[in-house]
Amino acid sequence: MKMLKFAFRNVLRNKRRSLISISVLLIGVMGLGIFSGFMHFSFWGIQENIIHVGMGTPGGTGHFQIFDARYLKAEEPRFLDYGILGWQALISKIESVPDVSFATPRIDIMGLVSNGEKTEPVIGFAIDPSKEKYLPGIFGSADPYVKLEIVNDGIMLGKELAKTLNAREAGYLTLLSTTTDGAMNAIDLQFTGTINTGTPEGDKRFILVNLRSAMNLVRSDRVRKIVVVLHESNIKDRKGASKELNFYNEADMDKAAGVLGRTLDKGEYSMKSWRQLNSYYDSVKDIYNTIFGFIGIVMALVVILSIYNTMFMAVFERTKEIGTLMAVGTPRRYILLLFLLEGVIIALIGGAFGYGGTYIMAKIISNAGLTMPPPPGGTRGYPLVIHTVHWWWLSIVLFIMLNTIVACFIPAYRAARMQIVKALYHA
Amino acid sequence: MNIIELTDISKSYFLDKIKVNALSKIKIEIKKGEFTAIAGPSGSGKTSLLNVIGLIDKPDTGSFILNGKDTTHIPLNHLSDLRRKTIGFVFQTFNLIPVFNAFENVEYPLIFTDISKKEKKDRVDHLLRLVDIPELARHRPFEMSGGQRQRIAIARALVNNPEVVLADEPTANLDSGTGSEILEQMKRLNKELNVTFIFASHDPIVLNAVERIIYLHDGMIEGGAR
Repeated sequence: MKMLKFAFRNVLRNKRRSLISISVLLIGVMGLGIFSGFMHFSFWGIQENIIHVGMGTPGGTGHFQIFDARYLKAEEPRFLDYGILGWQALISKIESVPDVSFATPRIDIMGLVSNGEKTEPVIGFAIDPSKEKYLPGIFGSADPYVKLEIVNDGIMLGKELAKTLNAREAGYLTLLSTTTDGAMNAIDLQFTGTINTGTPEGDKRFILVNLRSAMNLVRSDRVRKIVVVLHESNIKDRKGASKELNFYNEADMDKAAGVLGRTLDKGEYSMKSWRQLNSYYDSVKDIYNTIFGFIGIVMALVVILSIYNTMFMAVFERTKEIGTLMAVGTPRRYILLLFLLEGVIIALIGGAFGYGGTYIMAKIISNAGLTMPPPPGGTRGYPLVIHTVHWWWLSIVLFIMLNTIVACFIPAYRAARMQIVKALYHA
Repeated sequence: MNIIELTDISKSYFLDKIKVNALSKIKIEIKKGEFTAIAGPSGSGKTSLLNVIGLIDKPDTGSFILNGKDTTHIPLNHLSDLRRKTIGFVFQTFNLIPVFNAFENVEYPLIFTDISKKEKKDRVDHLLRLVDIPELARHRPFEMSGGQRQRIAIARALVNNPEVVLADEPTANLDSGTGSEILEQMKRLNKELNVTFIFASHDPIVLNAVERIIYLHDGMIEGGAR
């Protein structure tokens, strides 16, 4: 206890130097903390966008998608040969799983849209808008689905596609595609509005139509897939800290997948998670993790060099005092302990202030209404938010503190190994 | 009873690759309770001898028996316990810990003992009274005069009830009046506590106060007891 008191007073001895060291730790913790909060927000944002809105590709993936097992194993002979028949019953079955919020059918559409004068190749989804409208949640607009729900023979076009085709509200367009027999078919659909897919390519090519329209067009009762959306409030972050963010981990997804898997007829259906359906998340995560690792190493070096310098100067300036302490009987291990304790105190103060500073700064940035520019290939900017991620921040504080103690060790060891006579008569 | 027995102690240093013989074949016996000075001009080896006696430096050759214990073959790193229990130091520049007040400075060597908190307090209070500055217990060194600081240093040197107090030029940073007062106080403590005091000094105040002077010249003993 006396040594701790001694160490604490020594930290206060050269206030300016200690303040600089604490500031370095504070900046280190805050830099990594803010970046990690932004990373967490980005991961969450990408994940939720992929699930609810679509990222890189238009249309949210939902949490899982269920296919006819054959579709994922082999090339289908004809369009929708490996589609899901009796999908209504399957949806009822899936929706009986407690974790499932809803399940909705989709057919992937490829074809041509014509205004009579101009024809454009398109891709898109045929959907059940009465359910699909719940998919975007807080992450996107339900308007296209609501409009499509009202107009049974409606068609929504990507905003650039609508311009190209000079589409006018309530005007009719012709959608051409192949039937399941391989023949060409066409239906007239009423232009209902535009959609913003978030990507320039999507805006030029993407369409949404009602499921019944598409079934008439392709002459099939099958659907390509069933999109499953989970009750996100049932899924928690590992530490339960981010429940409100709907940010969950692999273990939660695996658990939900297990329950769903047991519900489905094994062998007949296959299931893919949002992460399997869209590799964008993992690519971004890898990039962020690499950048974070690099910044972490740089911060660690800055901390180590700064603290090493501080402690080395302290040892140098107090050489005579170290000699005195040893002369009056202080064991060498206590000299080592004294300087390590000084490092620990600096680390604790820097870590605590860094943690608090990170929290305050995260709140300030998140509430400042700042907007990030659209990501590469995107057309929409997004709000800059720094998530409060306590367990990440605690890890960062511990990491910085560990570096501080490592940086203290060499000067402390040197102090403990000093020759008493040389130290005592140090000029 | 001899508290210190030095036999054929030699010590040399290298100064810019030049060998300097600091001590040569020193043979000294000091009895318990003596009030002794090691005197000699600068560079005569006074401090080197005091360092050897204080167990903060090892001689190259010779044997050193302290309070009946042969320290010759004990490595320097293992001597901190013996040093703390047997020897007290008083330095020319007082060497107080600036972040501690007077009480804490005196108490510091007791940190490493098993003495109870109450006994520590009693012992420190008693010593501060013995050196006549109990009112300065809560003052830090920078708030004190040189003489007051040296009194604190003396109290610190005595707190572990040592057999020997070593004082290296204890009056060098004090005016003559204060120096005399300090010496008188040390002499009183020497008598009251029967603690051996050994000074390294060429200050006439010290040399006039001690009972015995060991003269050193070029690392060798020049004369015997006064």
